[in-house]
Amino acid sequence: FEYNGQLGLGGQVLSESGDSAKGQEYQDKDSAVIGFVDVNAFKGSYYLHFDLGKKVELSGGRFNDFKASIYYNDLRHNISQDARTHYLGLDSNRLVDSGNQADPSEWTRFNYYVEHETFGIDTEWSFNTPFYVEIGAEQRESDGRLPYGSYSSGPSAMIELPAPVDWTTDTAFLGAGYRTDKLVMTLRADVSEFDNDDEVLFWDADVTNGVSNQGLSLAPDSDYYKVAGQMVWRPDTWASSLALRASYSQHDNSLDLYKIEAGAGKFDGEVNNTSFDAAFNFSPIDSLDAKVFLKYFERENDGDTVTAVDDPTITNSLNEYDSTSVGFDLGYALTKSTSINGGFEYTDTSLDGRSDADGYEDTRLYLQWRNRSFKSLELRAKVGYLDRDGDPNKENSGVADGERAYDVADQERASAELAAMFMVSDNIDLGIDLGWWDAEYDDTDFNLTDLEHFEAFVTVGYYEPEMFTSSLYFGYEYDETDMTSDSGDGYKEEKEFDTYAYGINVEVPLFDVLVVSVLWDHSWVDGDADFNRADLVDFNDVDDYTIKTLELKCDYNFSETIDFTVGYIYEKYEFDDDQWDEYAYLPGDSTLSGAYSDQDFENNIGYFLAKYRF
Amino acid sequence: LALLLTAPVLAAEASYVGSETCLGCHDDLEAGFIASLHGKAWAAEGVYEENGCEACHGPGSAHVDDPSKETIITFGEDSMHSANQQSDACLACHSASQEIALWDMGIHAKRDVLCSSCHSIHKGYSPLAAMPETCYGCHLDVKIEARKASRHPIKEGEIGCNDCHNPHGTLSKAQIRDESTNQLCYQCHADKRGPFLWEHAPVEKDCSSCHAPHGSRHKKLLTQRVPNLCQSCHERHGVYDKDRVFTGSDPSRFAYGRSCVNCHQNIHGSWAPNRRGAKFFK
Repeated sequence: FEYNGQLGLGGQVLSESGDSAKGQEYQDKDSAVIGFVDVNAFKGSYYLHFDLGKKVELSGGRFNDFKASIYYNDLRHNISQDARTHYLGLDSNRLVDSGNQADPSEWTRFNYYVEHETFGIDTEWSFNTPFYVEIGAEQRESDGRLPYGSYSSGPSAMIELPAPVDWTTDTAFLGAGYRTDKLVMTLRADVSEFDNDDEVLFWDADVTNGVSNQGLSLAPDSDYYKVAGQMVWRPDTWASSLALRASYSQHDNSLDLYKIEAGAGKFDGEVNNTSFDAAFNFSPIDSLDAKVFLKYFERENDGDTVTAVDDPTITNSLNEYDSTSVGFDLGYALTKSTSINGGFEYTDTSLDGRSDADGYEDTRLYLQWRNRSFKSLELRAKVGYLDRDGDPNKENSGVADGERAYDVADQERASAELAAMFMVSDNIDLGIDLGWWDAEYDDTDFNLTDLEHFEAFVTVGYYEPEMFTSSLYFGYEYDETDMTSDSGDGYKEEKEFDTYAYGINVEVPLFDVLVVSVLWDHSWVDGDADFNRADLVDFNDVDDYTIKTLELKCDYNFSETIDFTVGYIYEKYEFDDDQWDEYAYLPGDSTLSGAYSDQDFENNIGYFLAKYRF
Repeated sequence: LALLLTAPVLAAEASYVGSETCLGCHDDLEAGFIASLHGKAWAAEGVYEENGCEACHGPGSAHVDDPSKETIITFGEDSMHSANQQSDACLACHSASQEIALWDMGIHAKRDVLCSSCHSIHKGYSPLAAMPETCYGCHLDVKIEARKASRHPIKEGEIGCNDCHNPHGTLSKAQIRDESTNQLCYQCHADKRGPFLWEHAPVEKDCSSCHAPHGSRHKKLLTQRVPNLCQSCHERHGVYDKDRVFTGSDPSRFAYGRSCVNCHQNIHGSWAPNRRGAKFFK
């Protein structure tokens, strides 16, 4: 065997203050020994790779013959630290009132998190032929606690509870196909089984007032099957290619509703999805590139119809829809350096089971112009337009009550983009992107009436060979949302968000053996919401936050095979929102647990790593 | 312009000269390639011995006679060959792949993105593009989104762009790796797939009606904060101004903290067989 790769060993020191859950949202860092292994091995046509770092993976195979991998990964999603509850039975699906609701300082402390452990294996065999077979399986174990809110009668009308997460998701696939440069055909079957050990969360609603045990439904076991096939054929004419894809999937479940509420029966759910896509790409003349396409997607719901046990007037709706799109994209080279592109798409969507709409039709258009006449300058301009002809059912009583689903409402959306890439000199490049879109719900009298977005991005790269490389980016986004209440409340609300982000990255090589790098990222949001009615109090802080990240790193190339790295990372997050300020565990008629509250943090991480290359 | 149009013709009329001739001037490029995974695969298959440099760069005799960029296929932004011509050199081998089969139809090909924009053949061991840095090179808007307060674990390297998108092209919108957005999301979020007894119709149709998958300034990757997101369709329980939050004169569970979701927890759908289940309370 011939080997190459890297080994790393070192340590890190972590100092954190504030909410460690947000500070380590997708990781579980600590002051500890760190390291990695990354090894490649070869012999003839055989190759092998071993990776021990963020995940553990062993993969290998024989070129053009087969390949296989086996892997393990652990992903922890920390949600909230130091939450609390007055219930006993944490991590079970039966929460019992401790009777100590009045004093949150005495409640049980815990963290909200979900940890996913994934183990999988997959392999593909082609035996040096155009045919191949692939097979794989994966198991994901998830455990933790999620915040669940619920509503009941009694003094504590709203309550936030730690719901247990104890899921297992098993998936497997089997595929086969034929692939050459002229024809690629694939067929693949997927199965997935989701198991939840806790399909109901029982909790004491209000023991002192005699309210009985309540049941909160959690995701039940479900199964998923899918078969999909695709073909891509490249005929020898017009540099064309034809692609066809079809798929059918079903997901279903079966559960005993009486476990949640006495007097209920069973529910068998079944949803089937069918899709078909076709696209033909061709170039009848050198300067013209064209694509025509058809898309079809259908969702059928064959689940049971169930009437609410406590209200015979309420029966579940079986939502179904089908959507058909046709369209084309054209690209035409006006000259060697100037091209225009245009496209059209028409989509007809029919809805069944919804009381608020029967469907809608979308018409989309875009036109783009690109120019590279100057070697150092590339320009692009694009405009787009969407016209949604919705069909909301205005006779529906829900509309009169203040409901109007914005996903099916009439909409006119216009967009524009302008971009330039400019090579200022041999060692300086500049990129500017400007974008704008505006969506007007033009037949809407209340709820969401207008969305507007503007963005500007600038990138600068500056290089001085053997002295330094640097890059800078700046981004700005402006978002405005306008809403109007119905005549009963009679007000308008306008929300505005200014989002800023910039970053700089500089690398400086020193003395041929050192590389010092500095990375700084800073982003912040300023949001507010204004009402036009004098008696309403405006929000000054809406999802305002600041994120700062500083990374300093020094790589020392000690020898041909040994490197040392010393680094420091600083992260700071501050969040300010009127909706969360002065968070209380017992506000009014509610009982909260602290989920998502006070997530400010400040982290300092120092690390050292020795790397050996071979 | 004349040079650009005639370059492929020159290449087609040229003949193979062998790698030894190429290395006479470009020997600095060989070591990196031989040590790379691509080089190992070629060595194992005998491709390098058979055609060597000219397997990708085309026959080199014209370039030997006139060592300019017009007379040989080069790769990158400063190549004299079109994006299609450069891609064709790679697709000559790689089009026989289910991952790349739809390259011609994809948005990257339509925008003249080059294979070499993302993949490096002569540098490094693996020609695979580093995610997400490679994508961020063009998609700065996504880079900024993915670093917002609420986000997927892209920064931590737990999710790569290509877990959800196939940059080489698919028949789906945004080149996602499934037929619909929801089916893609369910691959990881199986607990959200139902089927539900009480369905929230827009949820069943498109997760992105409410969620911004790359990142958001609002919690839970939402496109707007709650209650405003819910109020886009529903107007219930009166007014939610600053008087209704923790610090206000009339605090309300409808407005503070998680707002609507304080009570309507099962907003994706519910299985509780009662009227509160129908309203996603349980």
